[in-house]
Amino acid sequence: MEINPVISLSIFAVIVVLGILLIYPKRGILAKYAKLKVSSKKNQLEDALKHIFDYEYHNLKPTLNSIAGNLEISTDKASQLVSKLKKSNLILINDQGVSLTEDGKLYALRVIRVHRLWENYLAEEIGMNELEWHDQAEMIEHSLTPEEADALSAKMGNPKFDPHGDPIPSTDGIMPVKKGVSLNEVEEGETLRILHIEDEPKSIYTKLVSVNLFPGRVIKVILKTVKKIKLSADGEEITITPLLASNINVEHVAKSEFIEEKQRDLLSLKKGEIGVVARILPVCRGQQRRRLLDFGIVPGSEISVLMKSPMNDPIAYIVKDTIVALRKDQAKQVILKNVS
Amino acid sequence: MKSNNNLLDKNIELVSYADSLRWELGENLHDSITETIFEDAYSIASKSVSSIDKKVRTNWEVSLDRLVTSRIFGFPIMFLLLSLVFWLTIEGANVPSQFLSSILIDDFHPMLKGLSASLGIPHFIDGLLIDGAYLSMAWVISVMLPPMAIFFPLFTLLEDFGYLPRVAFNMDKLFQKAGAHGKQALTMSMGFGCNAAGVIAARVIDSPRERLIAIITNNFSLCNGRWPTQILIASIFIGSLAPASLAGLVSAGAVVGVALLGIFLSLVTSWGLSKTVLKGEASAFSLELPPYRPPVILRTLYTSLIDRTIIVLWRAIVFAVPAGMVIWLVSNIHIYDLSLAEYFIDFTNPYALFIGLNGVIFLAYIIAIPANEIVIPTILMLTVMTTGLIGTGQGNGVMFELDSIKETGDILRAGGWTVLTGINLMLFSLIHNPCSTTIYTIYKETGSLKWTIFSTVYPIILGLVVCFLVAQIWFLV
Amino acid sequence: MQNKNINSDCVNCPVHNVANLVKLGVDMEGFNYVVALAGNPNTGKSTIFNNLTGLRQHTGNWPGKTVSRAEGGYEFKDNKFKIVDLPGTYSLLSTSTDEEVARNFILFGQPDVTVIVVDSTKLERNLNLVLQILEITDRAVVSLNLIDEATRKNIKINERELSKQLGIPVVPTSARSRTGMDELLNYIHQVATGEYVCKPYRIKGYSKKINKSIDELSKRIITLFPDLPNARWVAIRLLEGDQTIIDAVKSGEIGSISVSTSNSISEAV
Repeated sequence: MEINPVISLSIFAVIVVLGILLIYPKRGILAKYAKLKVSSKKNQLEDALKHIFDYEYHNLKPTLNSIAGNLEISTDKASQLVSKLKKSNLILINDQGVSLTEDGKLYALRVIRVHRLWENYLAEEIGMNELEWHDQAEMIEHSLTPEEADALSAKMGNPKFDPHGDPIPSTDGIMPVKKGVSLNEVEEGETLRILHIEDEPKSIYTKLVSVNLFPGRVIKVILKTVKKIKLSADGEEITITPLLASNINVEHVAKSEFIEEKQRDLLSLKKGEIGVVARILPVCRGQQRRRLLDFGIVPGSEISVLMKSPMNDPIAYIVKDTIVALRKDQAKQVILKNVS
Repeated sequence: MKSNNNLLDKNIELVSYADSLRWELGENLHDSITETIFEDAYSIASKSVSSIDKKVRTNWEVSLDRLVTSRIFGFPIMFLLLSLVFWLTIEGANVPSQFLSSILIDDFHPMLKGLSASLGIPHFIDGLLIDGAYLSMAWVISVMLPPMAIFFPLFTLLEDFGYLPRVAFNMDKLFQKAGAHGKQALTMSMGFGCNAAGVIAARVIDSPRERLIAIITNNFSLCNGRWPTQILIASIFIGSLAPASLAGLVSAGAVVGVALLGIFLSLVTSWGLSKTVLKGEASAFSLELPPYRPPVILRTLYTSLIDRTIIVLWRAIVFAVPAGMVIWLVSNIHIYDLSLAEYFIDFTNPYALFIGLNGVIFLAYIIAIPANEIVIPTILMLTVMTTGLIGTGQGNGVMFELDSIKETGDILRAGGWTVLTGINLMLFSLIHNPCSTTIYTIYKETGSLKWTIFSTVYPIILGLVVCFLVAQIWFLV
Repeated sequence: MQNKNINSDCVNCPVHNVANLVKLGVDMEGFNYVVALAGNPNTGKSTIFNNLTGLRQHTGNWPGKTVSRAEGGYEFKDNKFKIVDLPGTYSLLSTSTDEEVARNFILFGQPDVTVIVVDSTKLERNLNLVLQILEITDRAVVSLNLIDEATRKNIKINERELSKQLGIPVVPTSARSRTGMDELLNYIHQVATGEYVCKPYRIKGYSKKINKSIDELSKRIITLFPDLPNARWVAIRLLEGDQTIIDAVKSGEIGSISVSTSNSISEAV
């Protein structure tokens, strides 16, 4: 094995580079291959069904064009898909466009169930970033069997809503009718709670996430023009365009639920101050949320700072006579009232 | 039958009814229920508890906490305490280890041999059972039992006192950055004693993802079984590079360096895993810091012996017995003139030399899988066998160790070892598959063959790559 | 007392569910009663367990220590008690394995007594678990542990008032110094044999909306399973989507939990 070290090291470098090219997330060869697999025929059929269901759910008329647009394929391809779906008795074709048969509806609901369950799983059990939920779920929804989906659901305590606030259909295809109205349809001065934020298209969803709008947040419309909508929430002002607003669903709530002032979070609590817990933000979910509640971090509990760890994070608090250490990220999710 | 079905239908109807109510109640049911329970708890507690001038924490608790989590003293105290534990373990284990080994190996082994000779038992059976199975078991007991019997109780005392949760609190930030849980600091420290115990300790981590990361990376904590190897090889090959007055310090530094490299690899691997296959944000830390409580020393000694030492030792023995037989067999089954071991060593030697190790080391790491403690005795035996040194050792397939570091060094050098071999052995000793006891424990704890295989194969590949790089750069320079 | 003796000819009968206990892996051969030991992590639960059984189980000052379930036994006043140490949990509402194990044991095993070990210095936080357990079972004893530590911290607990509030016996204990153990044994015995009849506190303050759902659902549960002692709790579990309970209701297995042999308040009054 007399090989010149320069040669052997160079061969090694080449192998490393090839390896990275192969497994690099999102743009690597393996990732590209996985994406190719996703756009197979079966997946396209399922995506088309989902799209038709989605349009019908929102009282819109799905057409060949809308299918082609949604799946990013040519109208020719879309019409091929449609005729295939028709053959399998999943849809009906009529003058205005297409509509789902009962079988087609159940099929679409099965796919949607897996999609939303998986988003919930990523959010609650894995703690993945919200911008990645959708893409991951788009891949999984075509491969998970209904049985696997049921097992997953049972493990998570059979959640009823996905992290965007959408209802998760039951195994036998039951899903409640749409609740709430679009943010574009409300008047100035109304107090509202966000019910649902649409995660597609991603560019709009990213903007909504970045301005800190999330399901469960109570907002007030303070100005409404053709070009923009100005919202107020917890002392914060948020301006969005009607295009963004069309992706938000809201319900009316009592004026008393609106919070005028900017509220302090637990992270801002200083030593010597005593805060009273007002609520835990909805971004804190799943096991993490339940653990905070178990520790007695519930509305009305008094909480104070005890000490910081040598690297400033986590921080130890005293709540209900117990020392509880929380990371800064979590402390930010606990909102206080009446700091003294 | 029909009525029975009817009943079941009604049951299912009931569940669907509950389901429909759940849509109505919305997402915050769990929150409201917990809030209500706490409201009731508050009202009950306020009626039955009267505390005038209540002290949530006594003064000494406050001062102690301030000290052990302080920015200046927090980490030094932690390192001092842990070093003290390791030092006590290594130093304290010497005497009982030698005692056990003098009884089990020096006295009892020849006695058994004599007995079998007087009974006229054939060499093959006598070698397989006494030189192979018995010796390997005796070796594992004498080198593993004393350090574990010291380390586990000490560690448990720190745990019972309430100090260990503070360690997790201090270290969490580092692990947070690696996408892991602060409690991994504890499983890691436990791993310095014994990886199998460290893997079991990962139970304290709630999130399955973070628990798996802690289990997979535990092997990078340099365990008790590997410290003596590190110290020995460092004294022979690294210490000799420095002037005699500094030799001790330099070799100690090298060992500490390897241990630190282990911590670094453990963090990097955690980070890599949490970015790829075990993807997820650094999840919650949320840990209750219990009050300090004086530990009940006698009970701790007793229970940690029962709970940890015996379990781990038993698992080690179960694997050591068959492995001892294998060690003896490969050195004693001859095809033509050479033993199986020699065939393997001759075959792998060129590849091994290419990455700065040698065929003996390869074979030793394969057949000494039950415990890292028997790697060096196996290496010595194999080296003597292949070089044909006369006057050392006790024959083919019989592991041995020498009291003198210098003589050990002479044997190794005669086997063709260089400084590079020494360095790479230290690295490979840190970065290779976990011992069979740990592998078995990983399987038990994760219940997943896939992750068990990953935890076994990943460090081997990493270790081979590291050795390769070091060797090639060494040749280059 | 007299009345009860007439009412039920089996005052001393154990209430535990042998068939379900076997399913849960507990062998009751040679034992009269089964006692479950529950509590928050770090309350000295395992030390109590050791004191009662003489067995040396390791007690870690660290949350989430007892992962596997420990069992032991003891004899008191000619009765043989089997004692099962449940995993230490903060709550019984979540989907984690520990909580599921503890929850299912108390629900399906129907232990004759559940001893709830609480940390006296953190009573309010610990009551969270106590109240949850009292929703599932009628028969419980609170061990007010670490009472010496509470005294040192100037916390005074009126255990009679607490016992009145909770409707179950409350015993101040200090497992480390073994104080209060005799009294605890005595109360366990009394509750097990039905000498002490518990009137457990039930959670009241749910919001109107939740209460309405619980009421409607539990009414339907009672029609299907009239002997179920804790229909309201089962209703809450269904609303929380607990798969074990959903399965048990679907299969009708939940009906195996019944009050027919027990001498709980419904019969005693």
